[in-house]
Amino acid sequence: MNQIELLAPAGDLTRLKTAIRYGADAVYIGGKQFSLRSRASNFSLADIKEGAAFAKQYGVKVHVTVNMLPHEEDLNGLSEYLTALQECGVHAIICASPAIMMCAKQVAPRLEVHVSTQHSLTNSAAVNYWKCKGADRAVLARELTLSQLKEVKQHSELPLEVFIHGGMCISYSGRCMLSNHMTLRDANRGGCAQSCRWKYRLYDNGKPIHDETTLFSMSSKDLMGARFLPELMQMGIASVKIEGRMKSTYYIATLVHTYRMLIDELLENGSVSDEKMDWYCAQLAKAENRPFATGFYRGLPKAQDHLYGINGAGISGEYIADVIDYDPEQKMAVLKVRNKFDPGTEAEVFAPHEPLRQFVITEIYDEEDLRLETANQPMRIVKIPSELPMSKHAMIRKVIDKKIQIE
Amino acid sequence: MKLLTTAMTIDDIAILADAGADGLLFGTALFSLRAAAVFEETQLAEIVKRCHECKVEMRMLVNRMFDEHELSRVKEHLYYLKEIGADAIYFSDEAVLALATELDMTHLLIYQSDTLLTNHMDVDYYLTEGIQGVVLAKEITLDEITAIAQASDASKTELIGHGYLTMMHSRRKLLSNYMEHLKRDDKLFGCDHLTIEEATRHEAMPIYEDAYGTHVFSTFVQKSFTEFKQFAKVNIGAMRIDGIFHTGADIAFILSVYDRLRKQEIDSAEAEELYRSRFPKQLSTSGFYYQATGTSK
Repeated sequence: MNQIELLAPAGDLTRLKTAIRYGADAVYIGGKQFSLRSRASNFSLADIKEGAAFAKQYGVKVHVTVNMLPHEEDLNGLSEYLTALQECGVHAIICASPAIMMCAKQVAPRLEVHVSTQHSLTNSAAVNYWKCKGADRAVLARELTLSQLKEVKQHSELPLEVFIHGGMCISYSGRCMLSNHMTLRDANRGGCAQSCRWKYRLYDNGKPIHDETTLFSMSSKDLMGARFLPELMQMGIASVKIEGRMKSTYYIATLVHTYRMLIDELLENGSVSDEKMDWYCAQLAKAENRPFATGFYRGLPKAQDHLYGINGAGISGEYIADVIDYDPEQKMAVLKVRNKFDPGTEAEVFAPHEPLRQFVITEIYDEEDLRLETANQPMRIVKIPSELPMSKHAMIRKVIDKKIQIE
Repeated sequence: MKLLTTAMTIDDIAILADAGADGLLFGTALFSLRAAAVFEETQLAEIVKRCHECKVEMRMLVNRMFDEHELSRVKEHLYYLKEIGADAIYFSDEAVLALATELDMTHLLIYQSDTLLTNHMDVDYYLTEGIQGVVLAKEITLDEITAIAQASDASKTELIGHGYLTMMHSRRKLLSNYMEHLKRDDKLFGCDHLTIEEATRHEAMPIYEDAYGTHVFSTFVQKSFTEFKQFAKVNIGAMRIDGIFHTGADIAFILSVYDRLRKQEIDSAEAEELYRSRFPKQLSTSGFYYQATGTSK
C-alpha cells in the first residue's frame, strides 16, 4: 500500500491545531486575500505564520488557498502576498488563476503550486500541461469515477490530489455562476450563496411539471469516500482532501481522527475487513454532515445521491465536551461543555492517536465542586469523575445508535 | 470589431454572411458544449468551404472537458479541423492546448472557459501561449472589460455580447434524477423548452440535460447595443451573438442590427428600438456591465 497524504481543512488557528493534533499530514487554510470561502474566517499573515510554525513541530505541511479568480481590482499586492506566504513557512499554494501560479513561481519559488479543482482536470494531458508550466500537484475534478481516476493516474506526471469527504458542488467547480446571477455574490471570489441548494419549480413550455410537495433542487448529498481509500492508495494518489474550511472543530477532529486510523490500518495491514470499514464509516457519520453518498466514485450520481427538501447538516448535539485536563490521583476530568448532557449519559472519548473508549458520565460538578443536575451551558467548565484517564485535547460525544445512510 | 454568431443550418451560412457575420461558430455532438446547433463531423469540410466562399471564418467549438479515453479522438479531431481549414477552435480543457501544441496548431485556438477569465494578467497568460485569442468571462463589468482591453492585446479578446448566458454546468443528470425521485417517467433528456424558477421568484431560467450533464442559463438575454461603441473604442477584437434558444431567422435579424450599428447606419437607441419591435416581451438586459458582483456574503 502506498503512503497517502491526509489533507484537512481549517478555518482558524484552533481548527488548524486540532487537525494537526488529530493526525492530518497537511492542512489547507485560506488567507485574508485571494481566497474563496469568505465565511471561513480566513487567516491573517500572523496567523498563517503561527500555524505554519505549529505545523512544523509535528512535521505537518500547510497549504494556503490562493484560489480566487481575481478581477482587476483584486490584483494589487499579489507579489507581496505570495512572498509573505513563503516567508511564513507555507509549503504550497492552491490556485486557479494561471497568473497567480506564474507570479508565485517567479517571486516565491519555494512555494509549491497546486492547481485547484476549479480547473476541472479530467485527463492526464491537462495535468501534464500544468506540469510543463511548473505546477507541483494537480487537484482533480470531483466528477471522475474510480476507474477514470486510475486511467488519469497512469498517464499523469504530477502528484494527484482528490476529494475524499465533504460537501460537493453540484457544478463543475469554478464553472457555476448561479450565485452571481441570483444574488450578485461572486462564487469564484468567495461569495457563493449555494443557490444550487435552493428549491425550484420546473416548467415545460411554461406548464408546471414539478411536484409542489417536492420541488426540484440541485443539491448534492455530501461525499464519503472512505470505502475507496484502499484503491486510491493502491493506485498511488498522493493526497486525499477533506472538504470543509467552514466546518467545526468537532467535525474536523472526528474526520481526521477516523481517516488517520483507517489510513494507518491500511498501511499496516494492506486491507481492512468489510466489518471494520462499516465501523469506520459509522465513525465518520458522527461528524454531523449532510446525508452521505459516494460522489462520482462509483459512477454518475443518481436520484438517491441528491437532496430534495432538506438542505443543511443535521446537527445532532452529540458533541458534548472538550477535555481540558485530567487529574489521575483524583480520577477527575475537567471539561468544557459544548452541548447539553446529564448524569447517566453514555459517552465516548476520542483523542489524537488514541482509540475510542466508551464510559458513562455518573456525576457532574461545577468548578466549586457543587453537584449539578445537568451541564446545559455551552463553554461552562465542569468536572466529572472518571476511572478512564483522558488526554488534554480529547473530545467527548454522546453514544447515539445512528444507522449509517451509506452502503 | 468582428461580429460572430452561431449557424443553425448550412444554408444559414450565406444568410448570416449577408447579415454581417465575420465568423460563424459550429458544434459537434462529440466535442462541443452548449452549441446552438450540432453538425456531423462529416459535414465540416463542406461547412468550411461554404464559409470561405461567403468570406466568413469557420470557427469550431471543442469546448468540452474530455475524459482520458477520449484524448486520442480529440487529437484526431483537431488534426482534421486543421486539415480542412477551420479558422478558429474554441477550447476550455487545457488538454486541447497540449494536443494542439503537438500538432503545431496553437495559432488556431481561442480560450473560452466561460467563467475563469476575469483579469488582464490571466488574459496575458493565455495569449503568451501563442493562441489566437481569448473569450472573457461574462460576469464582469464594462469598466473591467475596458481595463482588461487597455492592459492586454484587446484585438485578441472576444466578448459574448448577446444571448442567453450559461450559468451552471453539472455533469449530473439533474432533471432525469428529479423525475426518478418523483417516480415519474417523463423523458426530459434533450428537451430544449424547459425552465426553472426559484421558489420565491418568477424568473424563468432555461435548463436542459444532454450527454454531458445539465446546463442552466440566465433568466435574461444579454444585449450590448449601448456598450457596442465602447467595445469598438477599446479595440475589442470580436463580439459574439450566441444563438442558443433562438431561431435562425432571429439570429440573422439580431446580427443585422449589430451590423448596422457597426456601420453607424443607426445609433444605439435606434438599435434598441428595432430589437424591441421584434422581441417585445423578451427580458433583455445589460447583464453584469453595470452590476458588479461582490466578494462577500
